[in-house]
Amino acid sequence: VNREEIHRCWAPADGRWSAWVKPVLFANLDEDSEPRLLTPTPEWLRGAAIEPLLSASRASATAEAHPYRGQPPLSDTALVIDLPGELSVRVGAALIEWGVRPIPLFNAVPAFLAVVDLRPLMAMLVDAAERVARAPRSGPPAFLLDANRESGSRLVRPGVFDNRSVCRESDFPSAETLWQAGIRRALLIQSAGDRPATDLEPVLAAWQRRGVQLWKMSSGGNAPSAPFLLERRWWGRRMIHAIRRSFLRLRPDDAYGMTVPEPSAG
Amino acid sequence: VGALRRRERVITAGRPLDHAAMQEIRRVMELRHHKWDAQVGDVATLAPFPLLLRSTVWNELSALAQRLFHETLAVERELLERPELQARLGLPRPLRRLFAIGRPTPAAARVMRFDFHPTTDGWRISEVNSDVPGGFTEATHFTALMAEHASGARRPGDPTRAIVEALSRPLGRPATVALTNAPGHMEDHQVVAHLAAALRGAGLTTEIISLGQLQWRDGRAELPKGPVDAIVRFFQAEWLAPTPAARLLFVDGRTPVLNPGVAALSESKRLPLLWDDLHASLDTWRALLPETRSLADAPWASDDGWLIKSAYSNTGDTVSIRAALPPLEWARRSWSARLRPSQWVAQRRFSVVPVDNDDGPWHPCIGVYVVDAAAAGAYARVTRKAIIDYSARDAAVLIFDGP
Repeated sequence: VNREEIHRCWAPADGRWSAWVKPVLFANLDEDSEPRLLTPTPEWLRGAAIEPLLSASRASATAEAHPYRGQPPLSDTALVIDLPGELSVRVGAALIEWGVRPIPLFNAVPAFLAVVDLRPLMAMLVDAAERVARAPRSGPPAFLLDANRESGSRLVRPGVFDNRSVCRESDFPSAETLWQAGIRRALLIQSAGDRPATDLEPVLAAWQRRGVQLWKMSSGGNAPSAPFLLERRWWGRRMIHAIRRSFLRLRPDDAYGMTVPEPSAG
Repeated sequence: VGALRRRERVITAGRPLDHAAMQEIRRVMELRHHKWDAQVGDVATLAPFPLLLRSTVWNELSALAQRLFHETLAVERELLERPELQARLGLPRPLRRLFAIGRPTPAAARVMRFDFHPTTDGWRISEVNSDVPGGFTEATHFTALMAEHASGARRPGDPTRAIVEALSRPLGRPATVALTNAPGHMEDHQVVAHLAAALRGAGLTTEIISLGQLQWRDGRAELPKGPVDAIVRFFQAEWLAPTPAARLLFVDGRTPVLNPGVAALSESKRLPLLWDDLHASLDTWRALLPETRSLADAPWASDDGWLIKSAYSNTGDTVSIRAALPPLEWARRSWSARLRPSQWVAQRRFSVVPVDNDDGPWHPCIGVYVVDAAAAGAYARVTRKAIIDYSARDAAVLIFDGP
């Protein structure tokens, strides 16, 4: 499969959310790739993540709703999948079972000697392409993030390609655009932790301010997804994050990633 | 210069492409031409319509850009002879030292981009991108893709082809061109790879290298495979300056370089502060550039009629307008400027004449490339607001003389 076909699967021309698909990893795929068999859907996804949302929808459905004009499941729900590497893509691809359209927001440049190894994730984009092509064009979006984006697995030292990254509000549709598309709930699926990632908080806070109800669940625990109220983080914590973010290597083309320079001999 | 009366239609917006056609262009740009910022929030940054110029208007812009090109070269020559002025440019000390100890390495060719704005007072330029002008992807590929959909319109040129011709013309065959860019800057690497392919198409041998690979013998560059006949430096001069390996790229080298290191002199946004001390003729510059002052001489902190920018800001990321920035960001930038006023400059803002389209007015800025004294293409940025910022869109510029 060539990379243009793979990109077309993830970002069809008539897809409602295709404009937000980040092209960086697709542009860096080999010209032709061989997809592998897609691994099964994680078991927790149905029971712990999706079923509570569907139950809440059923409970709030009005008796007047026309039985044959019902919306597809989760039509009012945006998802944010903040899981490590290829797991994020695997969960995103699995969500098409509920009519959801996965939108990759990976914005770091891959390299051989990189702080964040993106090769497994890129391989999963290839593997999942055919399945994702079957997702409805206007289905509610699941925004895919790599939970390793700010840390990676390799030490930042001279000669290494520093491709750590953050997500920004401008990577997502605005809260108003989501609202106009009928989005009223947002489910965050993350691997651990009680709070959303620091860079993700301003995004979710903006959605919450617009009236979108936030839900969350942890893929590492057994607790089902549930609504939560996002409270503003302590200012010191936000300041630390702003300082850390200023050291990331944002490039003129809006992607993240540069080689760490050798220290000056002078 | 550039008689442009208010509401005079020197630029018009062409018919927008339908959604499907535009999506295909976007996909090609994203996957093949390194356009990775085609979406910012809710804004698609590739404009679905071209800007159309009459050939008379393009001829006028070309002529102005060519005159600016000659004046800029004259200024560089004079500044080389007058090192006492170089510090006032904000030129990094290592570069000043280099220019003091040696003769400039010759130019293989010269490329500049001048950014023109149609204003209520006529054409104005905001700056010259003299050292490492960008936008080749948009000016070459995006413009070509849009031109395929605009019947009767033609491209104002192809800067990539002009560079290849300028570089290859003086070289005999066989000849080798080495190309280098800042490590890790993938977008620059793409430009370099693109130029290398075009040069190979012209019959030259190309090598994409890191600077450390170059060996120098009697001022001539060599690689293990053999001598290098020309070097393409897609690497900002102020970043290279502290690098020992770069010395012969700037001075005392005998292998010609595109762009030569002296380009750093005119790249400084503080150049207008020196005009009154220069002997070179600057009539076109004086006619087109808005009033520019040192920070101490301009009411930039209190008057929204002024903007500030740093002497060296290759992507325009330090252009700062109080009314257009969040208060915290404005405070950060004005603090930076106050800390190092000799590295910043204040410039009077101008009022841009918008281009009307079906969906409302757009404010355009047209970047005109000049390669070895000849205008060689253009691309535009358009925005709803009066300033060009992150939410501006790239627009193809086409020449159209039809009704």
